[in-house]
Amino acid sequence: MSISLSRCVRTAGLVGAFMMTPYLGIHAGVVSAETIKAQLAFAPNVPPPIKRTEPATVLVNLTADEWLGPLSDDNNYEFWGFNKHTPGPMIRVMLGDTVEIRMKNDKNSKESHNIDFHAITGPGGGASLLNSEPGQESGGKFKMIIPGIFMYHCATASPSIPEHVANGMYGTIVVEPAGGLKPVDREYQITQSEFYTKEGAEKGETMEFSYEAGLDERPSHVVYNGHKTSLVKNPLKAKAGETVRIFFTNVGPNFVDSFQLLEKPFDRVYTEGSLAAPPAQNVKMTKVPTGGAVMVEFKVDKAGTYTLVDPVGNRKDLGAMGLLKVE
Amino acid sequence: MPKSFLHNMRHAGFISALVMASCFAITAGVVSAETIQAQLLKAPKAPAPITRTQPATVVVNLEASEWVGLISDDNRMEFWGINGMVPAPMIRVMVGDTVEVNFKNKNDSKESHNLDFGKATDGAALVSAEPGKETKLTFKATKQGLFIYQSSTAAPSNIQHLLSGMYGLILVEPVGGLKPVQVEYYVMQSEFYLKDGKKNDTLPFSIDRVKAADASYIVHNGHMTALVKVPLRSRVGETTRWFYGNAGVNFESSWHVIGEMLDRVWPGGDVSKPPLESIQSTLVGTGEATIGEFKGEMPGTYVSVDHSLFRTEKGALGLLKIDGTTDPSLFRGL
Repeated sequence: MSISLSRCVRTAGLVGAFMMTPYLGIHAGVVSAETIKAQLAFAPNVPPPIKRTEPATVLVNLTADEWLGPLSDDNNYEFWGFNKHTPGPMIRVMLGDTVEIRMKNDKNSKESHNIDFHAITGPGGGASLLNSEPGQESGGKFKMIIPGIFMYHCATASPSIPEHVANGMYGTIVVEPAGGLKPVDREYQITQSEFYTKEGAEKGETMEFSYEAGLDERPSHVVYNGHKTSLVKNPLKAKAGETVRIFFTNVGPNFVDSFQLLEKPFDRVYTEGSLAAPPAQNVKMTKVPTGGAVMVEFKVDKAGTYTLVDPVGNRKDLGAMGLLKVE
Repeated sequence: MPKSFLHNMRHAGFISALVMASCFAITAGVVSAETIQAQLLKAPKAPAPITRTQPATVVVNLEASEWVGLISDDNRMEFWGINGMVPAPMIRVMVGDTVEVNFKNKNDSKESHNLDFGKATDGAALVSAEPGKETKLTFKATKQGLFIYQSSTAAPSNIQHLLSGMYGLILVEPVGGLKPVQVEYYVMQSEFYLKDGKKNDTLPFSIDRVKAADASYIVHNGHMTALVKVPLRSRVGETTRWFYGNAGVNFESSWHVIGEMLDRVWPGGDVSKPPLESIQSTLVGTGEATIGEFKGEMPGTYVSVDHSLFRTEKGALGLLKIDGTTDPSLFRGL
C-alpha cells in the first residue's frame, strides 16, 4: 500500500520533499519487507526507534535550500541547509537497509549542493551521485553495512567544501544494529557546530560568512542545534527516574568537541559513535572528533535543571550550552 | 653477513641515507637471532611486517640534515629531517627487541639535533649529535604500540625542531606481530608555521604564528599535495591498514576517510586493547599516533582527511584509489 502510494506520488511528479513530508508521518514504522518512507525528525527530536526486524528499502527525500534565519537573538544569517533546517532532519534506519535518497536543490538556490553520508560505503559517501544544480534533483541507492551514528553533510567544492558545512548543511543518520538499540525513556539529538562570521555586525544586521575566520578557526558562534540559545530557551524535558539518550553529532567544521553534563557523569558513552563495542561507563566528559558522533545515556534521578555544555575555552559563552529540565 | 657488510660500509664512510636505503631493501626482513637492519622507507611506505618470533637487535641508521625543499607547489621552506625525509622513516620492531640507533648529524647542519624514543621504552632514550658527529643509543623496546619519535633539542627551541620536520613513527609490534592485512601505509599529519611571502619564495619559520595556532600548512606526509599527486592504492576486498600519526603541535586531528568507515581503530596506537569498531572519524591527539584499518568495498577514489574541514584547504588530505569491480547492490545512482 505504501509502495503504490509512493509510486503514484512520484508519477504525479510531486516528489519534492515538501510534498513528501506529510506522508512520511503516516508510513513511519510500518513493517514491510519492501519499501517504506523514512520518518524524518528535526532537532532536538528524533525519529522513533526501528521496530522492524527485517531490512527494507527506505525512501528519504531531502531538499537543499538557502534562506535567511536567526543564528542568535540579535542577528540573522544566510543558512544553507537540508529541508530548510539547520541541522537537517535526522534519518533513522537499520543495518542491512537499502536507503534510497533523492536530493532536490531548490530552484532559488545560488549554489549547487550535494551530500556526503558518512554511513554510505562508496566514493564520496554518495556525493557524486547526490549532486544537484539549482532546480535539479539527483538520487542514489545505498546499502547500510555498518551500524552507528553518522554525520551527513554537503561536500560541494564550490565555493569550498568547508563553506557548505560552515553555513549549516549537515544532519545525522542513525543506523541501528541488528536487534535495535535498547529502549530508553527519552531520546534527543544535539548537533554542535561553529559559525564563522565577519566582525562588526550590529544588532539586527544579517551576519556574513568569513572564510578567513574559518581558516583561522576563530568562530563567532559555537551552538547547539543551529541557534545560539536553541536549547536554553527550549530546554529538553524528562521526568525524574527516566533514562535519557542523546545522539550527539559534532559537525565542526573545525573544532573537536567536549561534551559534558555538569550535574552528573554520563552512565554510558558509546565512544566515537561506535555501537559495536561495549560502552564506556560513568564518564564525566567525552571528546567527539570533528565529523564524528557519540551516543550517551544517563538516568536523571532528581528533579531540576541539568546543563549540557562544551566546557572548553569560551565555547559556552559562544552558545555551546543546552538545558535539560527534569520534573 | 649483513652485519659485517654494514660495518665495512660504515668504515668506508658511505653512511649517507641514500646509499643505505638500497642496502636496507636487501637485508630487510631477514630472520636472525642476532642483528638485523631496520628497513627505513619514505612515507607513505611502511616497513614490512615482522615475521620473527624471537627478539633481535635491530640496527637503525638515522642521519639528521637540514635542507630547503618544497612545502607546496608554490613555496619552499627549510626542512630539518631524518635521512632526507619529512616525516622521518617509520621504524618497525618487536617488543623485546634491542634497538641500536646510530644517529649522525650531517656535516653542514647548523643546529645540533636529537631524537627521543622514550615512549617506546622504560626510562629516557635520547640520542643527540652536534653537526658532523655521530652517536649511538641502545634501548630495549619494552612498550608495544605505535609512537612518535621526535627531536626535542632546546636550541633554538624544541618547537622549531618539531615544526621543521623532525619526527617519525616507531611501531613496537606485540610478539607474533599484528594480524596480517593486504596493504599498509604510513601517513603523518603535520603543521608548518611560516611567514607569508610571494610565489616561489622560501618562507621562514614564524614562532608568532605557532603561538597564535595560525598554521600556514597542515599536510599529510610533508608536502601540501603529497598524497594527492601520488594517491595510495589498494583493491576491492583488500584491507588497508594505516599508521596515522599527528606530529602537532597545536591541532588534534579528526581522521576520516570519505566514503569508508574505519572497521577497526586502535586509539593512541594501543594494540594491547581491543579496537573500536565501525568508526566514521577518530581523534588523534597531538604527538599521538593511531592504527586504523578498513576493507575496500567499492572501487573509486577516496579522500582521507582531517575532518576539521578548513584544514583541508591547508593540505590536510590525501587520496586512496581503490581498484576493482563495482557492487551495484551496495552503491548506485537512480
